[in-house]
Amino acid sequence: MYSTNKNSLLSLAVIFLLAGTLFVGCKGDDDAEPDGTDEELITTLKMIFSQGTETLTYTFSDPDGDGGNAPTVDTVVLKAGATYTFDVQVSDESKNPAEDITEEITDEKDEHLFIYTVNGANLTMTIVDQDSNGQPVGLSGAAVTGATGTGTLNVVLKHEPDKTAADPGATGETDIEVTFAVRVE
Amino acid sequence: MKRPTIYLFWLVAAILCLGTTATAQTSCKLSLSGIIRDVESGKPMPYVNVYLKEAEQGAVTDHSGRYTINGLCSGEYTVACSHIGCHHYQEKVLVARQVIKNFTLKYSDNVLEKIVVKSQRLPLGILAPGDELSGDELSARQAAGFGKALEALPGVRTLNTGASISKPVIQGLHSNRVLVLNNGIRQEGQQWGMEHAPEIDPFAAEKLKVIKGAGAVRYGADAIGGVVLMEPRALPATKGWQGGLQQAFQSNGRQLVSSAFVETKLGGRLPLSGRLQGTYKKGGNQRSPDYFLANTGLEEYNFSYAIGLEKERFGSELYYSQFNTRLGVFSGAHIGNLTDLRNAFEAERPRKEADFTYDLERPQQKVEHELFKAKSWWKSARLGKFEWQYSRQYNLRQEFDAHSIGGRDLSVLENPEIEFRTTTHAVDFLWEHKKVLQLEGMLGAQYQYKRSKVNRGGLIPGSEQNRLGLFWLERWRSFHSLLELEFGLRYDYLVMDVRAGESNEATELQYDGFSSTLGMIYRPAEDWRIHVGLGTAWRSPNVNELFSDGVHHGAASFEKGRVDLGTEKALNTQLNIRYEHNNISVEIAPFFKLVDDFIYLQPSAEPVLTIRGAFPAFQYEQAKVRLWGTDAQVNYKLGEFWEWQSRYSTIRARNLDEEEGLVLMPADRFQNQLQFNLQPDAELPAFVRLSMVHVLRQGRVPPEADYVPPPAAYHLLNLEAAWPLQLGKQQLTVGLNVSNLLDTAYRDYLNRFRYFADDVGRNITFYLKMPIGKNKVH
Repeated sequence: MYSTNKNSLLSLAVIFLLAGTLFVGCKGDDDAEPDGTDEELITTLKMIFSQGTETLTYTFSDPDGDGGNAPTVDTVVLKAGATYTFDVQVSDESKNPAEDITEEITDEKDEHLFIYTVNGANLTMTIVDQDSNGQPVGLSGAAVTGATGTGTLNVVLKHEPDKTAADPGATGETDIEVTFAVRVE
Repeated sequence: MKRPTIYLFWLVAAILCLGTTATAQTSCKLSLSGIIRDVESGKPMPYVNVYLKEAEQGAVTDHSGRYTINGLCSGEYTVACSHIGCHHYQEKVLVARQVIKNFTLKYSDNVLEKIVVKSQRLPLGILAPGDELSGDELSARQAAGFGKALEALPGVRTLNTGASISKPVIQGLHSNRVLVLNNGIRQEGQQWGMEHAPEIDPFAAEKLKVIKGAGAVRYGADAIGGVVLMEPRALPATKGWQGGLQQAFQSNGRQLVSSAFVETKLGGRLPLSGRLQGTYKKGGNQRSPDYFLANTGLEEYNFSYAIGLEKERFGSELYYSQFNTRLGVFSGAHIGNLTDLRNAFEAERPRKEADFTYDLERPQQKVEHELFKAKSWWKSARLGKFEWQYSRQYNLRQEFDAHSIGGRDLSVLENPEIEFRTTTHAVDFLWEHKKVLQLEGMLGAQYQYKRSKVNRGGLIPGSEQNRLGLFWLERWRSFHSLLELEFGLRYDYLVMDVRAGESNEATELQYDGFSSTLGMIYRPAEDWRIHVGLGTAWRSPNVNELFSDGVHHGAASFEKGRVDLGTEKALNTQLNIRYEHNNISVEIAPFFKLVDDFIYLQPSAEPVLTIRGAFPAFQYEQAKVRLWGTDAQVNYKLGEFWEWQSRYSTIRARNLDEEEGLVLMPADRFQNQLQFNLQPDAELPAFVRLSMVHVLRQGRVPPEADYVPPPAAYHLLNLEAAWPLQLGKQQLTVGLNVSNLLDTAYRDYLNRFRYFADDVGRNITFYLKMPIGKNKVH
């Protein structure tokens, strides 16, 4: 079984050489042009408050993405003792034309949840829309203001949260977390 | 370029060169060669010192017992052969032509039968303290991966990202401060990232060597922490074919590993030898004591081959290796912002529940690395040995994120979010001069061209790099002296072109500098060995340190590079004292290192605001840093069967400018082990070994550099056993390793996933190693 036949050794060597020529695929030389264009990015969040025909739009915008220039954040100014409906829009304005990400969220309502937290100001945000399981989504709702004052509105978009948890904000992964200054006047 | 054509070219070139090496012999070009065998078994004896007293020239036998002493003038010589544990042997030999003289040696009766044989001659260029892993100790650990296998060496730790990504940490330093040599070639992968493991198959290695401290001017200037050498088996020197098969199964992750090689040598006019080697590995979700770790499986396949031609004065070798891995990144570690990270840390168990599966999901990494190397050498009787080498490396790294924002477009699901490609070409020339006045030495020149492209993901920009290195080494070594000295000097010049920023304009950066080493081995008595290493090293800043600008996901930090960073300069002092006497051996290896302009991430006062919230910001800064520590080891033989070993390693690191600690420094570690040798006299060891590892809590961390405090101290119990078997004519070794025997839940400071989950629980590895073929390989 272990006899060393010269021919068999020669053939083994030939196999080595063949293996050599076959295996050297010279893996894709790197002349391919960079194509880092389809990177997913959220640059802009718009809060749209409506009352009758009046529409107020407040924006958090960071068109160059993380780092670079600092984002710009509007101050949310609402009338005291008023009831608004609100909508939220999310987009990627680093692309041309801008990509509307709200659509993608609408398509996957059960995987997403907007959480609104108000501090200081007399503002109550109530989510009205629901996903297929009857759980809140937060793409639209009602905003009711009380007496004048100032504070902050924190908007968080969660991906794959546990919507039935005591604190859904402690579950899932955060896609957006922005804070607006709020003035009720 | 067409690779096959190049191969044929090498081969033809090699064969043509052969014809020219038949040289005429004059009186001082004679040689003495032969084989040294054990007088009783008749087996060839490696590592025997053969010394010609009159010529003051010597050689050490190779693994097939062969020795050759060249460049002799005709005359009568006294040949002395010596070997640890053998009777000294001396004989007069007349050299008037090329002489072949075989000797036999006899073991002394008063020496223990089982002797650890170590080559006394260190290869040129690495006369610095270090350790190596080979033989059974290596084969017991190969299944654990390259990084984890190295952890068996004293003072070597690993920086982990989950359970499947491990990088070696030497003297507290890692990544670009540790040089990895893959079969003599500087590994050019993506070592800058903390979650980028070395792209090397540990099964391709016969030896894994670690040189601590800046002790390797031969390979590069930037090994501030140390050097790891992966050395494959030498191609077979005897005719016939042989091979080996290794199988391993790990209970945690139900991982299966298979590795095999075959090799052969032809004789006669064409002394061609070759080897083919391959490894396949597949594992599923790993488990911590209380839960499965979601998406922690991996799949890896690697292969390599080598073809060599060796004549007395000429040799040529081709080597090719490919490494391919796809590994899951623990889902629980994927976070969107700092709030998520805090939530994950405070949670009892990871958010994502998982069961066992072999399936890999996003997030994951896919890495490919290929290495091609062609090397030739030619020995001149008058001038010494000339060697030249060409290598090409190609590295592809793809990272796939957990999810695309908003939803998934199925067409982009196959696309990675991050893709880096690096191609490196290198040419080395080496002249090892003939021994002059007890001086052995070499001069070398190395040129390297490296192109890195970033195809996706804007974390770092692409770059092009040209590097030229020149070095000179001399070793003074006399057979009569107790002292051995080595000195080395190296100069490197580096130009880097980086296209960064919105304007995409090229920034040219240049760095240059000298590095040097001084090594000394002193053997004042038979039982003592004192090893001293002094060295300077420097490292140019890496592209990520210069140009990073973005959120480092998983670390939830915003990292910002600085283009005006200068080079790091290190001064390293190293000592290794070993005492071996009868049944006790003690080894103490203290070190002291000063690094000027050490590059590190400094927390900034202002966080960076993004649409995912505010991230703590870190900027690359430079400071003077001091590192010192000790690795110590004591072995004690208690009678014939029992062996005790204690190990301790400690590191203290301090940022002298900021007067604070450094991040990611290994905590103090104690290890005690008791071993029972079942067959103390047998050629192949059979043992059972129980080891207790105790790792302290790392308390010396800089303030505000981390979000959560370092984890608590922990103890682990490990069990190892190996047993050689003879099944008919077939010899094989079976082994068992149980790590974390008590299934202890713990977190380690050097595991970057310590925020999210416990480390892996009990893991039982069963392995089998089987030599096959005519010439049994152990």
